[in-house]
Amino acid sequence: MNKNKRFRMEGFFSKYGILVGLLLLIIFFSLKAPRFLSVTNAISLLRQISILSLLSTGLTFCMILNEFDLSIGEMCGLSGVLVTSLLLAGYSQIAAVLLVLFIGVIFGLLNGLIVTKVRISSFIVTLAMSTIILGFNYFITRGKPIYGQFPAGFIALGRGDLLSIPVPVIIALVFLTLGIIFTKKTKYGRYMYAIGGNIIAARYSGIATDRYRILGLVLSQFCAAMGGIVLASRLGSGQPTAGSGYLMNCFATVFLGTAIFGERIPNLLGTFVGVVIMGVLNNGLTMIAVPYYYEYIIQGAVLIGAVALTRIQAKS
Amino acid sequence: MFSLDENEKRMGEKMANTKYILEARGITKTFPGVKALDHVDFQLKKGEIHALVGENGAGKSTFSKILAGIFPPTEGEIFLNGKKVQINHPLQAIGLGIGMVYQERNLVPFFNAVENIFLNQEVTSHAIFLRQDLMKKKVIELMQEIGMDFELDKPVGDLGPSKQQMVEILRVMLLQPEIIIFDEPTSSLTKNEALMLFKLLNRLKEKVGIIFISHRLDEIFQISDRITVLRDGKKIGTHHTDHVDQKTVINMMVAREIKDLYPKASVPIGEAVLEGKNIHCGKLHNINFRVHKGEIVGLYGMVGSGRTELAETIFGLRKMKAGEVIFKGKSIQPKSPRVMIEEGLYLIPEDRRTQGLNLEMNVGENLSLAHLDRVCSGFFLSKEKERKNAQEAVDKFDIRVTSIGQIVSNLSGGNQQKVVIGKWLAERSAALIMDEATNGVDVGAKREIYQIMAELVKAGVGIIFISSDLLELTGMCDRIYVMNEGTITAEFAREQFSQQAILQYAIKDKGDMQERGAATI
Ligand SMILES: Nc1ncnc2c1ncn2[C@@H]1O[C@H](COP(=O)(O)OP(=O)(O)OP(=O)(O)O)[C@@H](O)[C@H]1O
Ligand SMILES: [Mg+2]
Repeated sequence: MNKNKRFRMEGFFSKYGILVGLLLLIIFFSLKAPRFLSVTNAISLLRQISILSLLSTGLTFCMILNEFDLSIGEMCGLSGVLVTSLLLAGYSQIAAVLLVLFIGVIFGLLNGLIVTKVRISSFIVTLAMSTIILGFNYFITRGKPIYGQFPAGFIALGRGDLLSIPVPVIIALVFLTLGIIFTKKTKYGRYMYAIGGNIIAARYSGIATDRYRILGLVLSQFCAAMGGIVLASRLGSGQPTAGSGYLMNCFATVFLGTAIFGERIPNLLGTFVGVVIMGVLNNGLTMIAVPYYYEYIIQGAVLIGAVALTRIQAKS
Repeated sequence: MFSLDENEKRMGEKMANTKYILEARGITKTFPGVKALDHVDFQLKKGEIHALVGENGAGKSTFSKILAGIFPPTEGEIFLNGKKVQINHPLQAIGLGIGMVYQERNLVPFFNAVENIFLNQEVTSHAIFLRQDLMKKKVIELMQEIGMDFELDKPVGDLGPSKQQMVEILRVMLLQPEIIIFDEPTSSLTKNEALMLFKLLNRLKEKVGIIFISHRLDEIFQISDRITVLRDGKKIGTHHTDHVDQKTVINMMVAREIKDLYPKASVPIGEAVLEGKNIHCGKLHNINFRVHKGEIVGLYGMVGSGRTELAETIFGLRKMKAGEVIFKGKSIQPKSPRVMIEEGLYLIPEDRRTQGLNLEMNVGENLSLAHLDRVCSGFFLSKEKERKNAQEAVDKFDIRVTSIGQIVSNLSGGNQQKVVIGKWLAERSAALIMDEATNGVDVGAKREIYQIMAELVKAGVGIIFISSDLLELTGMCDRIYVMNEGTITAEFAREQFSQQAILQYAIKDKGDMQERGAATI
């Protein structure tokens, strides 16, 4: 009897522990800083996390396949400086955005082809690729930000509102929703989970494993490129190093996501909750005026904590 | 007839009996949603081989794992030599002298045999430096003692299932346990290797007590002294092997009666559906074979003879160096499994855990993975269709699950194998390769699989049936090819089947073969 009850409690915590944690965080911050729980802050919080959400969505595709993409941060940076440069060079908005997204796809393809055809682990390939991408970035910018007068349509991507919802939030949610449908509802998503779970069994089942692994790496670069475009629009400039900081946070969110709903494997909805947690942490800590260096320490601790949580769940 | 056992039981109840090296009382184990064991009593004597039999999911592995300290029982007591013990951890079991060869292999794939055998038992000098030379020497000694022979320097992941199984056995032997549990050790061994293992067991048993689990009843009767039957987690009874016959044991295991185990129907043989001409690939050379519509063709050989390699080559998992595959009348390049599946050739792979299943996915998801189009509505997966598809397979193959949503790694070994089979037989192909497909499957379900094979050939499917079980091969096949060292050395038609002759061609060494001229008999 007693035992039974304890068991159920454990089950609850392993499933919803993270959500409870999020709730506690929100309560804590709203007690400390009354402004935290306002609509304005909620919207600005969402605006802040939209770029992280885009990048994390992409990374989740990869991690479902049991692949890594360490080049998303730099792709985010490169696409920001590229899109601003192209606009200043007189390209139309649509052309500039599409071209940058296309370049993201090319880098993803490159990653994917090397990983699958040359058979090098994605960890190494994308680590190397991140340096190469940074090289291109500096080639274009020489390390200096790109400032200028940008068209209103482009600026709206990061700063605009639609029905009083920020445009970047809408973009992030569209990517997220499409991603959830794709991974959870279609056979292609099922294939990706199968490959991530047991690639040999997947191949024996007749799944074109290479094709989906390439797809995963392309999607992550594509999302990173999109994130970079929105980021540049929000900043109103192309900042060469703006993307680098996102990588670690992306991993944290995906791992947080694996610990949610007892899924144990990467999943987009979980990732999004992870993104919200990171957002709440950043926003809340800033609001209660914690010195910025603590933020780093806390972020790192959250990543370790998230992974630890999945391990504890795996045991039970 | 059973008076002796009854007597022993009564004595056991009164006091902890020191004449048993191991005694378990009232062992119960519940997993969420399943009662895997229900008040099981069990006694093991020193000097005996005690067989544990029962259908898939009867609780044999669960019982063994409790003794080996993998998990504790929910209820019940364990006595060793009359002393009550608690076994909370595998290391503790080892300390108490209990060693277990698990049903599923637990090796580090990129370690070689020596590294695996000495895992956590490493020989060191100055407490930290590995003495690989000493360890290797010890392993070679052990191998010679037992009569095994395999490569020690290769990663075990490249060794093939039977060699891996031997590594597992050596690993346990190294610990010199007093109680040894073998959970289906022969399911991945060939006949010869199994015989070798039996010789070893017979020699060992003087000093130890052995628990032996297997689905092959002929083995059980050949080697065991007593038999305990489990059904649905309950103990049905323990008998001296000499006092019972196979039929009695089968009837104790399965509530229903099984008449003829091999439902071989005569089916008209049609035109050739799958042909190989002069296939060369890796160690495979000069392979010629042909399978007709409506025909079951056996492929027999020792492990390492190239049966699995041949299957994988035809299925597009290995690149052919030379030769031709003719499928449904036209020449085809086996480029990838995907291509071959689309053409209508299926392979039920040998190793369920690495090749057959996604262990962390659930039963329904695994069953539909090879035919996702069947369970889609347009672009989207339909949970409803998937559930129906899975339910069909679960009913047809009598897969014991708590629900379609159960994670496959929680199923018993034999039920996992049934999932693999259900996954491939959900849709009809033109030809089918079954690589040790009945491994670890209980008698009832085996019969079920044979029945389905019979139905498939009636519908014109051609089947290549790879197996190390000569009884089922001679029972079900129309023809049998024998492979030896990468090529086909003999072909037998059904009228010519003789276990003796088949075995001879499978083990005869190459020089001898060539002298006589590789031949059709
Ligand atoms: N870790 C687990 N979690 C949940 N259920 C389990 C677990 N391990 C075993 N079971 C269930 O316990 C029952 C007994 O399984 P067990 O592995 O002991 O069967 P078995 O007799 O060894 O069968 P087989 O001949 O197929 O190997 C099965 O219904 C199985 O699904
Ligand atoms: Mg078992």
